[in-house]
Amino acid sequence: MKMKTWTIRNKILLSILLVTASAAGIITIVFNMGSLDVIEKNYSEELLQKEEFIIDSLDTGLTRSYTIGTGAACDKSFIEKSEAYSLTEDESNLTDIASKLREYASFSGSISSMYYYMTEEDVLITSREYPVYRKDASRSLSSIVSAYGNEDISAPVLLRDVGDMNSYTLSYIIPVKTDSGKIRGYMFMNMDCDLLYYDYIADAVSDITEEAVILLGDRVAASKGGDNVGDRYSGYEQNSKWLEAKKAAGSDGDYVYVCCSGNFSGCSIFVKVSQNEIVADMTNLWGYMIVIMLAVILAAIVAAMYVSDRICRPVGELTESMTAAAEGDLQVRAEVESRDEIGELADDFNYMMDQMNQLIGQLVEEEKKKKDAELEALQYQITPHFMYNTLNSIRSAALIKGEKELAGVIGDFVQLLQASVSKKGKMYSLIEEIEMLKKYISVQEFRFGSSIDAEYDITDEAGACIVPRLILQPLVENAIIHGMDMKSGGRLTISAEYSDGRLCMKVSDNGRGMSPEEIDQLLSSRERKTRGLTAVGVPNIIDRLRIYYGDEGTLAYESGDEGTTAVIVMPADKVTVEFIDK
Amino acid sequence: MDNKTGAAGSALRQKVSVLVVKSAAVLMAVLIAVSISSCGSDIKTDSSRCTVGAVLKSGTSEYWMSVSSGMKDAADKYNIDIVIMYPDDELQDKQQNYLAEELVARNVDVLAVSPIDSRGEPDYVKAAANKDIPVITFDTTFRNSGLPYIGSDNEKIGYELAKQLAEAQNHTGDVGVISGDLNQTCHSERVAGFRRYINSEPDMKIVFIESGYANMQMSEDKVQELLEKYPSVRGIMASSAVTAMGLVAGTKDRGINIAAVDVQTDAINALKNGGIEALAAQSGYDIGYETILWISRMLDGESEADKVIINTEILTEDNIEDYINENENLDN
Repeated sequence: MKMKTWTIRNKILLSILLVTASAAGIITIVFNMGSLDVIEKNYSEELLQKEEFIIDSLDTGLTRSYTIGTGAACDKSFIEKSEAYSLTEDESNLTDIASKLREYASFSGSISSMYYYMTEEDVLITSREYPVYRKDASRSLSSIVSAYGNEDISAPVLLRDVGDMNSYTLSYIIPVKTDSGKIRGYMFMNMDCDLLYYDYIADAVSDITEEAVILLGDRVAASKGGDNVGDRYSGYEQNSKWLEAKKAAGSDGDYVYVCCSGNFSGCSIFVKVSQNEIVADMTNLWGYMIVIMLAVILAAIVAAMYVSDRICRPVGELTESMTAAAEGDLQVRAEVESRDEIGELADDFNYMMDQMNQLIGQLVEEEKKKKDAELEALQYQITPHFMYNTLNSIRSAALIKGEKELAGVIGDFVQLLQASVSKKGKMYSLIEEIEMLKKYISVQEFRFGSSIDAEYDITDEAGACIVPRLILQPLVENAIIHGMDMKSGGRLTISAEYSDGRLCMKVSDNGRGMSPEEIDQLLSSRERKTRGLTAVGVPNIIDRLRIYYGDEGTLAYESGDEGTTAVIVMPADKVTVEFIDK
Repeated sequence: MDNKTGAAGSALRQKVSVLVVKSAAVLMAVLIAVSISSCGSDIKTDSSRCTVGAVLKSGTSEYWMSVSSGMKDAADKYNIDIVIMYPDDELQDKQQNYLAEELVARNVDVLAVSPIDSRGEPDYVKAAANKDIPVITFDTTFRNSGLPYIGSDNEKIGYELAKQLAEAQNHTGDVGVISGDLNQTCHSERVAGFRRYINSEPDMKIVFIESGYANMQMSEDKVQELLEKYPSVRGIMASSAVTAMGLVAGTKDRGINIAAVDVQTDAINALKNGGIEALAAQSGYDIGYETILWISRMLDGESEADKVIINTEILTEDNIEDYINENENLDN
């Protein structure tokens, strides 16, 4: 039987576990990654919408601021006051202008302050409480406006706040022209960058925002930390692919980026959020998902064990039955009640065993009949007993005539005949076989007219053993006829001993011996015996030994220059139980 | 035979099993690859949307608010970014020029303008031409500019309103006009159309034309002054519904027929109540929407007519209910 390395139950168990674990793992991974992707996309889309709204609000505020500025720029009172101041240097004109500026600035909350710069007088008037106006306005302011000069002024600019040089304003500069087209001054519409931060950046950032800036070109107008306002944005090149688009959203695996630009102002808002922070909650779910996955696998193990047990129990039952049958238990039947292929297999196995038992029974019966027929045929080779009745009559006549020796020979011969044709059982004791041998030898001495020196060495234990009839007679006959020289004095030794349930009988002569070829021919010959007392010969002995004792009953010859010995070995007790006729 | 069939079946099953396993492995690999590949590093950019700069005459009247609304709706539908600007009122042409100049300086893709002053060609039109920025006009155009125009047939409006007044006055009597700035083609064309019809009525004549009241109410004193100066006037065309509402109040119980341009809720009600004889249902929303639609088609390369006339229905008490039913938002 082959050694089992993996039982079917283990294979089923492993298969179910592998499939379940693989499916659970793949589903978990795919779901998680898909969820992460969905979360990131949703977040970036929502963030984009939010930033679009913020920049649109900023744009709307700046548009309104600019419109108000143009209205102020078209307000002739500014020019009139400028002219009046230029003529009289009456500073009340400056305060009037300042009041007017405050009035315009109040039209929109997007306007932090307004300036009016009179180019010819180099005076800057503000809407602030302080300074209201500044004469000899700073060279930087002058240089800014002179740089614009008659050129188209477009887009807001970042300027240092006149009132606080550490602060910046996002400003529109609108030329104030006379009817002739001459630029008389400039109107500044200012949105403090601090206002930008509180009104727009503050809405754009959350706890997970890495970076948020409002840019004007490449310069920072407002930022999350309030740093670097007015400076060039240090991350401009690094993030250029986002910043150069009108509207962009996406990620690079580490961060989510969103950038939107205002249609009017050209300002852009750029936000950068850590991707890990976005999916932090999802990442935290990993632990739960792994626990759930392990729980699923554990449940799968339990289910798999139950399923495999249900599947494999009938297989095991069938396997055990087949194993027992292979080991010789032909009465075993597989008790499988499942109505599947295994059940069918079990039914077929049971049917096969039934058929096998029936067949074996038939074979045994036939073999037994065959043995009986052979034995009967063997026994009925001997001539009927009417012969020895006749011979008894002849013996009686010899006695009457005083021929005692003759009568004795005839009497021995009659007994020999009786022994050879008797139907009284196929077996008798060894002692009885020896007695018959003595009578046979006596007859042979009469026939050959010489004496045969026969020695008997039979132990009591051996003599009590049951042996088949005429088991030694053919051997003695062969020894007398073929092995011994009567004239020179042949000697015959018949011995038997019993040991460990086995009976060993020997018939030895001191004749000329036999060659191995002669021994082989003797043992294998199937030629019918026509000489001697009976037709029972050595082949018959061999056949009967095989019938009664199988391989345990043997006949062998040992021969040399000093004679030949025939040895029969057979189990003695066994024969006693089975084959003695009642 | 059975052995051969069994062997063939076994071989086929083995092949099928191998195919199934391979297919499953490939499917799993694809699923995982798709999931992995769908993560990160996508850039979604949108730099393709065009920006239209629109400069209106005003933003405070219901008419101009509806123009603005129509423009925004069309911009949303046709994926166009729009910047809408307007001066403080319809008299601020200089301020309007500033706004248009700024839009050109901002390099908008298209400039749409309803000029307050139709005369000549302002600097920003030249500047736009230098930058290859198309300029179109709506509601009002520049005289003799050849620029595309989307709006009403104002001459026909004036003509039809005059006809309505004539009907109401049995084709007799004096009529007057209170118009917006006649430097604007929309107003000047309405007056021209109005004049053309009245000239065809032998028993009718125009006794006054006041200008500068676009979407503005004439003061009651001024109304009274006019009526005292022209006591024979029996019909007045107002170039805007806002102006007409002022007239309705000022001419109450005087039996003066009023015709006006533009529909707004109070004017509709006045028409229903008999305060106004006829209204030219110029839809600011349609004008705004069609303007952006025209621009969208132009940007797509479709050839468009240089002039798109928006049909203007003349409303009277006979058809006002039908009009209201078709335009439910006009009914209070």
